[in-house]
Amino acid sequence: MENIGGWIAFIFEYAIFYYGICLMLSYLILVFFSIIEINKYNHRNRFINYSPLLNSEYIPGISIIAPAFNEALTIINGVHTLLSLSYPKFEVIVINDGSTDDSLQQLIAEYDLVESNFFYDIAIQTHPIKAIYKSSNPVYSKLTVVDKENGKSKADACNAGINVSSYPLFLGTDIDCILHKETLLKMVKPFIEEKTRVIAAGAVIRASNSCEVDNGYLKKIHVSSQYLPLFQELEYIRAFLLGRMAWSKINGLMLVSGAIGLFDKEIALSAGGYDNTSLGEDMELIARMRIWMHDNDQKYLVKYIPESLCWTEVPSTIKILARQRTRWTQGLAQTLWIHKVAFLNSKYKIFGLLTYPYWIFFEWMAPLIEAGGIIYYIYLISTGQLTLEYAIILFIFVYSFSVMITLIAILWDDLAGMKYSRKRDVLKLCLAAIVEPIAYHPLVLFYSLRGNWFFFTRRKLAWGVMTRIGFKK
Amino acid sequence: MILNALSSDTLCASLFSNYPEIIRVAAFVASFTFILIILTLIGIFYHRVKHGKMVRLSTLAEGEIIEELNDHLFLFDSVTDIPEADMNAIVDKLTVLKNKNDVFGQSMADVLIHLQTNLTGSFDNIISSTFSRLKLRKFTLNRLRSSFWFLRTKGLNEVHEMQDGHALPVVYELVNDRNPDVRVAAYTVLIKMKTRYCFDFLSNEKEELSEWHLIVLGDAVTATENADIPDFKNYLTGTNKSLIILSVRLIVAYLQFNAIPKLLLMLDNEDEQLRNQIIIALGKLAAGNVEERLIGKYDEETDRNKSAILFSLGQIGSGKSLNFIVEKFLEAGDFAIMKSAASAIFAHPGDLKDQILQSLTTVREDHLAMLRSFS
Repeated sequence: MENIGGWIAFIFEYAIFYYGICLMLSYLILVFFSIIEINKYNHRNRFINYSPLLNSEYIPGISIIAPAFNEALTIINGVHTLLSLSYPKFEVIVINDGSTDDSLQQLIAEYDLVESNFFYDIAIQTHPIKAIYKSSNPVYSKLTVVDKENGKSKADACNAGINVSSYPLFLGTDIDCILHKETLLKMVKPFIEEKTRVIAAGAVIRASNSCEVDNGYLKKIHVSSQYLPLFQELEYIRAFLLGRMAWSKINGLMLVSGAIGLFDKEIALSAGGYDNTSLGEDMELIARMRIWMHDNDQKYLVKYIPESLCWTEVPSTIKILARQRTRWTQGLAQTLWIHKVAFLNSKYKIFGLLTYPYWIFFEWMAPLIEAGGIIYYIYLISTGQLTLEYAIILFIFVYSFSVMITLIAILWDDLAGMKYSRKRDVLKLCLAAIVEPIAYHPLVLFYSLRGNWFFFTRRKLAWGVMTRIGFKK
Repeated sequence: MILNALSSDTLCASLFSNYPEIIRVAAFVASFTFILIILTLIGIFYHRVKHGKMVRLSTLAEGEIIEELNDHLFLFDSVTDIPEADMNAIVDKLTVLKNKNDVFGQSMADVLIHLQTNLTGSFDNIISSTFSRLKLRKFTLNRLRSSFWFLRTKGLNEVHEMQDGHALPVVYELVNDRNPDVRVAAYTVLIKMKTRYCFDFLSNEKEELSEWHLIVLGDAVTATENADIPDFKNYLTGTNKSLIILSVRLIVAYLQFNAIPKLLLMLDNEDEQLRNQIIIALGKLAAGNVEERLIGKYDEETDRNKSAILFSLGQIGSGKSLNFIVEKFLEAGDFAIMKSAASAIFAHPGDLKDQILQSLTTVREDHLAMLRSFS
């Protein structure tokens, strides 16, 4: 009995502590690789001229796939943004995924849509398509609207879009996203620049909650003053700019966000398309595509672009945030479980030996271990086994590291892109970074634990409705 | 002694020597991260202030330079209309601005390059003459000789934007640069400046170029007016696949029909991608006499190239292959092949197409749906 108690004490006192040190080290390594990769990208693209791409007939065509479920508030703006992107060869496919509001009627009226005889290949099974609409106005010839029965998942709608698409690359996005005008030009570059086949590429996403938008165009970029969007903006900067760039450097990227990801259609189809039972369909698709490439002995790259190309409305209420984060964690656990074959499997190289174990130990397990650590820490303090002085040192140790990583991300964001013109926006982010570990992180931790609880208890989580506020004009 | 005491290890050791191991490590990490936090905050605000200052200075510089150019230079229709004394006076004024500080000097070069790129007609000569008299070439030459490859590329872009023939010796050196981006930028300059041996890279470049490079080079060739265009079939025998593909595309762009026999011979090439490009090129050249050869190759080809053959036959649209296309449409199992065949049928002239469509009334439902989709 004493032995067991000793072991528990050892685990909590040493193992969790040194796990934390390893996690911190891994962040520092990611920061290091990320800085190298962002520098390399900036050098390569600082003086780039995209006009040859605009004039070329040899550029690969891109199908933009944007699912919409009850998006009446933003759908017209969203389609305007997509149709006005700079690219010589693209189509926009909007999938009305059984909306119960007037999204479809708005589209029909705005774009003079008429039902079309469009014939497509059912390469991936989806819920039935009711009708396909094309515009009778030649100005909108690039637009196709697919009206389908609700498939209860974004994946099902995306798969319908892939079936209808006619170009070799497809861009998965959300209809409420505001994309940078040169998104397609910038995102296609890795596909035509690399000699190894690029199967997917992602880019940085930012919160649009306080941005000024006019007719689908982003006019001014501001940091949100609202509690939740402000902290999510910080999270996005940290995750996209530091984490994903570093993984891209070593070709270990496992997540290309569903809000903006360009995919090689042939490989996505060969891998089976999006899994409509998955709650983290974006991550799951990348994992499956990577595994397919390894299983078929093909060399490939998954690239990331350190430029903010997509602005999306992030949850501004606790209820929506709770559902989103719970779903993300459940989706992560689900994906890791489905693709467990890759775990420490040398056949899958970087993906199997580094990315996959990292996601298990430092992404999926981190909230569980953190929660255990916090409970033990409180127990030690309340039983007087930890002096106040030691307790403060331990707290500062964790807190200061968290603030440091976020501030480095803000600095790097400023050096790399300088998206905020006002000094007070950067100041606001810095202040938010200082309070985030106490004011916001506990929430995220709680929802991560909830997601894991849902996963282990096999509780089903509905996708739910993301209530839109619309954009500030 | 003092130095020793100040070294971080000793400092930490002396401060936390009585603490348990975990607390010692935590305290050390916390001290380290605290210093980094301060440094990062200083970095953020230093960068903000520096950037703001740079933006203000360049806006000021650009404003003053454009005002000078508008008030004094752009009043004239051509450079020959400007009296020498006036020109000297203006250049003197601009030189004072240029020498104010580095930002003004660089802004002046940037503004003139920007104007040269975006303005046409008589302004061209006025701007390049001013650029030359202000000795702004040194900024470009410095970039061409930079140890950073991306600055060399930027310098090369400036050379062709300013049509600066004096920089050509350096450009010729950069054709042998180790970095392919720099080499491609150098080839682009030579093409855009219509130099004598500007197409030599098609036979001299050893490294396979990326699709991005091919698009940039293809655009440089086709966007250069009155360029002395060579017979691109002469470059089809090289060993660099990427440059053969570029040559095939340029044959299409300049409709060099005399290359068709050579292209037909290359249909037997082992490389699938190369054959694909040739099939597409033959379709775009609408080479009527190649239909039989394309049909003959059909069964040996991959699905991707089968689609390309059908599509090309549609582009040729002579009607001679229509029965073959219909046959392939009806037996197609692959969606892409069926779609290419349907597209090829619909690419044919009205009468021929209508005759065939009328005969296709009793076909499978998916075939009918596909045809309806095109009609």
